[in-house]
Amino acid sequence: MPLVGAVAAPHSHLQLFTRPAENEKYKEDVQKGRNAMIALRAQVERANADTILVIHDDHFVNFDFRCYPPFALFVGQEAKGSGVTDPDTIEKITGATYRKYEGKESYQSAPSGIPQHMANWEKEKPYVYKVNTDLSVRLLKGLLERDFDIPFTADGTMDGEEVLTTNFLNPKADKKVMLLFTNGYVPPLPWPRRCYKLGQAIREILDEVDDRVLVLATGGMSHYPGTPLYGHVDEAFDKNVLAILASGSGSKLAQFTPDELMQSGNGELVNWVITAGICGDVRCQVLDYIRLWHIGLGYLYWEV
Amino acid sequence: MSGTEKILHPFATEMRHLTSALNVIASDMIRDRTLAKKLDDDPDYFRNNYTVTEDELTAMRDRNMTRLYELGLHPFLLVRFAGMMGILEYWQALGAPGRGGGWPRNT
Repeated sequence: MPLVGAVAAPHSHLQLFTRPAENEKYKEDVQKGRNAMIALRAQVERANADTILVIHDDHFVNFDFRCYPPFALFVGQEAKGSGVTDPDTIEKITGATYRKYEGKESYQSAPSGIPQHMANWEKEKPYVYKVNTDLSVRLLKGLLERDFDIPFTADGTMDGEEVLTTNFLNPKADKKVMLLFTNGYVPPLPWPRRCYKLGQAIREILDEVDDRVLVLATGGMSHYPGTPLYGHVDEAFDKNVLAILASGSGSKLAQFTPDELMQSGNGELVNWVITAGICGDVRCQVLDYIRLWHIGLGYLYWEV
Repeated sequence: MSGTEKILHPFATEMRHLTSALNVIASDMIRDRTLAKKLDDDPDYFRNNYTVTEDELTAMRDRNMTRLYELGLHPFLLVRFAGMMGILEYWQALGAPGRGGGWPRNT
């Protein structure tokens, strides 16, 4: 029973900020999202996983314009990253504990004056996760054997968004992680049909091992950061995706084209499509869908 | 939303980011805190170390967000650039919640 669960959860930093304080409706929506995250955490706990395979589109921390692969596996011993705000606030909201360094009082990931997840300037990272390295290497070799030319990286830096989701779902860092990085936002994107097949290949490999693995697909849903459409959300596209997954037809996600993902602000859906490939056509329980300022947030788990 | 394809065309279809040196600079800036300051103090560093055009370099030094998008800086890096350069007006102009003045500037 190697696959013990699969969840999809947003990684938007908006989940940690409730300002402007005068907007009560906005605060309520943020709290609804946090509640959905807590419900997903309960699902993660019920699965009793020993390892979480985090599928996440890298935000220019591991990938950059000197080399931007469609996918990459981390194969080191330890993954670590910084939060999108100060650790005490994160602990209050998510329960996530962090590493305190001797002689160090500030755990900011960047100097004051800039949003904390915009850069990767500090080498000491407060959130540290042990990695299931043996299984990561087995996954890498197994994927190569199955004709997926997966790059690997020994840099286990997690960007602020990846840390945020992990803060909520693995707050005590008591589960090992594996990191599969994807390209969810730099066109040309990997094709969804390829992502789905990648998921199927991952499942074949997981079926051969004894580790209890839960898959976490981060990201989404519709958003267009940095473009002239910043603030617009394609809610119709999002709700169609959720309906497909709720009906147990996840393989249909493989039919989208990269252009359809980009035009709907859903590049990060590649993470979900890989997970759909891992899980197959089983129904999903959609816990919530919330529209915040510039993004639609979907929370769900697969009934594996 | 109608017109989405046209609005995103430079980014999603033309993929200007694939050939613009702006993206290598912004990628490096994410890893190197000194580059933001160098942009103001030592522009020759960028002329000597990147294949950046004067138009691109001027847009970066002027914090001209619209021009940077037009020239092919990837939109997500555009957001990162605004953060790293402390361009608070960027978020204020967008009406982003929580970005109305709570962060001090670093430039």
